[in-house]
Amino acid sequence: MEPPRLSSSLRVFVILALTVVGPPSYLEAQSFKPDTVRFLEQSTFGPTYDLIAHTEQVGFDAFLAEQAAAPMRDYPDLPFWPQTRPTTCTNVAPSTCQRDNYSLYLLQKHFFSNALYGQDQLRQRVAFALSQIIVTSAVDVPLPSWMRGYQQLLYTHAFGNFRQLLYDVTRNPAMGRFLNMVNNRCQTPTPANANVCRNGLKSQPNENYAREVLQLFSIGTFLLNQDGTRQLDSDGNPIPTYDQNTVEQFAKVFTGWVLAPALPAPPEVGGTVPNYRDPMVVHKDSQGREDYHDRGAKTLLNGLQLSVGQPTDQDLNAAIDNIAYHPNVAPFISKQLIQHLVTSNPSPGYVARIAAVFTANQTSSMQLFEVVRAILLDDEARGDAKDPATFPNYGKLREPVQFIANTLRAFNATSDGVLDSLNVGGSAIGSADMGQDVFNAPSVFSFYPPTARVPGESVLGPQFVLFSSLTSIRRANFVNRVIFSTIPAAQPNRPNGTFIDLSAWDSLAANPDDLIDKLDELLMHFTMSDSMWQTIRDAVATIPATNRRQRVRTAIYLILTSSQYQVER
Amino acid sequence: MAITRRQFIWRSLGALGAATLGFERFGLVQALAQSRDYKALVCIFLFGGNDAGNMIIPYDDYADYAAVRQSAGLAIPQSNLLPIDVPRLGSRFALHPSLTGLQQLWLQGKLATVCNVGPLIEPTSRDTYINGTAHLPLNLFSHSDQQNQWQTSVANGTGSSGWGGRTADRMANQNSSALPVILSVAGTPIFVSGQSELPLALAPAPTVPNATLKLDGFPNPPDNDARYIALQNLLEEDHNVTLVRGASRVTMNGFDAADTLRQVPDPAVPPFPLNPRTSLGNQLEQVAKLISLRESLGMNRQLFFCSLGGFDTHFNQVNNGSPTTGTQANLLTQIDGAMKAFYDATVALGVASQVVTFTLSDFSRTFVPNGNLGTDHAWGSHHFVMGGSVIGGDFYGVAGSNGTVFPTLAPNGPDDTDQGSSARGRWIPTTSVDQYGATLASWFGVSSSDLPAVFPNIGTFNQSTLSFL
Repeated sequence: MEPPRLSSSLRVFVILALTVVGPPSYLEAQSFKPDTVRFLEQSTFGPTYDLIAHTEQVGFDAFLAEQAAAPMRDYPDLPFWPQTRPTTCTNVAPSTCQRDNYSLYLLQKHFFSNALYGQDQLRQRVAFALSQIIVTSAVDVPLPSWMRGYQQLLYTHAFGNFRQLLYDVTRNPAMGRFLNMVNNRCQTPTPANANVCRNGLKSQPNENYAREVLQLFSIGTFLLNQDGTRQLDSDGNPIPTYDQNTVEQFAKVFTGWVLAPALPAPPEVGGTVPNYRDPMVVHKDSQGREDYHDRGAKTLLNGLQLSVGQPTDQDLNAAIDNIAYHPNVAPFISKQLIQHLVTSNPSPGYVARIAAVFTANQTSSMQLFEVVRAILLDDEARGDAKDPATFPNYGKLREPVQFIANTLRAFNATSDGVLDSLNVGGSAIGSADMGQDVFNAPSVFSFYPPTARVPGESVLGPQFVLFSSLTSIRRANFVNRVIFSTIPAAQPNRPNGTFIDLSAWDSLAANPDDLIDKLDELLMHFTMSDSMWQTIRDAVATIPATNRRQRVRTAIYLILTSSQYQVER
Repeated sequence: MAITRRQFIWRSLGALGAATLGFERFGLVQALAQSRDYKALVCIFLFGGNDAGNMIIPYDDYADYAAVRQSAGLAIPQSNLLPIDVPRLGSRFALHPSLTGLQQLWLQGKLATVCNVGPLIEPTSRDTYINGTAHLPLNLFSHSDQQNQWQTSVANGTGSSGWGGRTADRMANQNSSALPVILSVAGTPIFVSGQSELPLALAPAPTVPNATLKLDGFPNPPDNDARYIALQNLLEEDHNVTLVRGASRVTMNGFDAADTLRQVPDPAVPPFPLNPRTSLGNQLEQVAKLISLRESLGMNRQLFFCSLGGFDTHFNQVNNGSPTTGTQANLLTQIDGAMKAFYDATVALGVASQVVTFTLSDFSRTFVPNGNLGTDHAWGSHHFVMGGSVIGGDFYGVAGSNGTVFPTLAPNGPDDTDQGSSARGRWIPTTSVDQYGATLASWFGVSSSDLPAVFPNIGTFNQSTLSFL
């Protein structure tokens, strides 16, 4: 029988005291504050020993300030190809023209590579969260050159001002295409009224952007208190934020925009291509009149009236102000950012504290940074551990992108970033295979709604939408592949493959207790339950001490596949 | 062995002591399966809101349709339509030109249409809608809310389980299997979550069933491997954390099923002649394979979930100047090929009359188009039910203000939510999701006394079930 486990606090002490033999650098007795590791789980794509040591040295405030100034790695500047692929653009070796210009390959590769190695970790985390709240998808934005500008916009604005973000998103051509604001036009009313509209279809303005900008990107369907809970009427029913008529009014506001003038196509193609680089512009007829815009009066949220005959962009600015400064925005957006960074079930008090920061910084050019800073430094985010007895519903399931990036960053991986769609040895183990195909969500509702619940439980667990019998086994198979083997290079689409470096860990394997304790620190900030520790200890002890690497791999495999690890607390 | 203990614990929550344990009892399981009847429900959810207005079109009264949809470029020319007789209405209607396979099934009486069905809390008319006395489903015309209502059958709240799942809860005791009643080849939306039954998510074809949940890196069987035993044991340790418990529940369900599926052979199934392969075709092919394994898996009742996305056709629903082509035509072509191939597979397997396939979708779309060759969000829709037991070749539903089950296709007319000159034609359903679902669940075996537990609002409607089964 193996000796029972020491209590957590005692283990920390033992590690501090263990200044014995030879393992390199961080795997020596040095021990970090669990909260430093937690903080980096929330603010990066995964703690690394370098980053833990650095953050411990400078403190959270300085780390956040560094992150605000950290250099960005922009998405690759893709050439704009025609919407219909020329037959000369193929993947017939040595060409990768089709892959590069007609699939998300380069953008996804950049995304994962940047997540693994970029310095601006927090900006990337926030941009990725925003990309799941204010959504476009390759489902309807088929060319990567079109998607590139949108993701770059979120990346650039991730620490910026929400109102500015919403305005720029609204005029972005990828969003214009995705939710059909591009070419949305006023329609001939009955009777025809030349002051309202000058074109002649018997149909109505497109409601798509109008509905989703309200429902998903800003205020949601019910009036909220600042703590994120729903306001109720005298009968105890929730109060709708808007109705169908409001949607139709906004649909009229969002008329009149078209793509900017066409761009030259790549020289080998010739001609011009649609402009998915620049913001959409107002359509004008030959006399310079804004003929696609519905010039009628509109009534927006909270009864705001837009008067007859306003120019297209004036209407748009008024509407964006009307939406962005609605009191619902602060709790609606703040709560979702908390859910993406820290915990699926924030307390109303937590939401209210962040919403207050959101509102107080409404005109700041660093509004979202201040919000994220407050989220990460809040008492509900901080602490060495959240006691299950007091906080049973705390934490969040690691989404596939996080799960993959966290694993690779923890073990010093070398990777080409080809991790989205991945079939190795007949096993599907990429992020897309786990349900999260980056920039290619099934719809504007993204991969999971913020209101989704944990199966069989009454608490929120949005990421569980992507967690099924099928995908949980694929997660285990990903771990199996990278821990026990490698993702080998395979030309042309996996130029380098992905492999981790466990050499530093071998020296710890002589003593399974030390090995598991150090892994507990790095991967679970010392929250592993005693019984979990013992189970892994027993499994590792069945492997001869001479087979150190197998001990290391076994311990890591069992931690990463455990539910206690999958749920980040 | 920890696995069987877990299976017993989880499944005994809902199933009434049905034998659930291991593969060693396969002989007994097979005997049980053969001695009972077999029934399967196959749900196909069309995510995004399918425009039923261009799927089921009046043929004799084509002018009503063309008057609204032609000038915006959305009307399919009458000469391209696939006519079908509708005895109940005494007039001809037509299917979208992409639905040639379904037209054949209609002519054979294996396909029916349920008309103007949608989420309702109670019978609702244009009058009660406009004067505000009707209790209305929450957040009408919103994707997420209406998807939820179609899946939960609870239009006045946010349910925590789906009617597919609750139907499965009541059928679990019919099976002698370690697998749950519900197998999904399209993830695990709320429709498939019961109060006690957990759905199993599998990969679609061409992955073979016994490989779809394959756990890599272990000997086969893995039961004596120390790491495998530890992996299993760790799932029992939730540390009193709710989310950890939830994650373990899902993973255990998968590992247990993997154990069972590993034992079954790769089924020889009838050809599923779809070339090229399609997303829905791959899903339904996997369903056919799983049905072919019903006896070795000990299944008497199975509910399958498939889905297809892309129906949110706000623009380019049809191509400019070519209304028989475009986004919806492509999707309907996929549906037609997959459903017809699946029906043929059930015939070849000898279970055509024991399998009922049906569609669900967020909502139908505005009958008045928008200016982008598209349509916006509406409400009541038409849906297909397919199978050998379906009393096909007719329309079903509850008759509305015009005395028929089919709505009056007039914007600002008797079935529209909208008023005035810019009315869009969003039909108020005359048949509720509850009635549609209750008909399917009753055929499946849910007793009439259990219907209110599965469909909480069913009592507010005059008839609980429709007559298509």
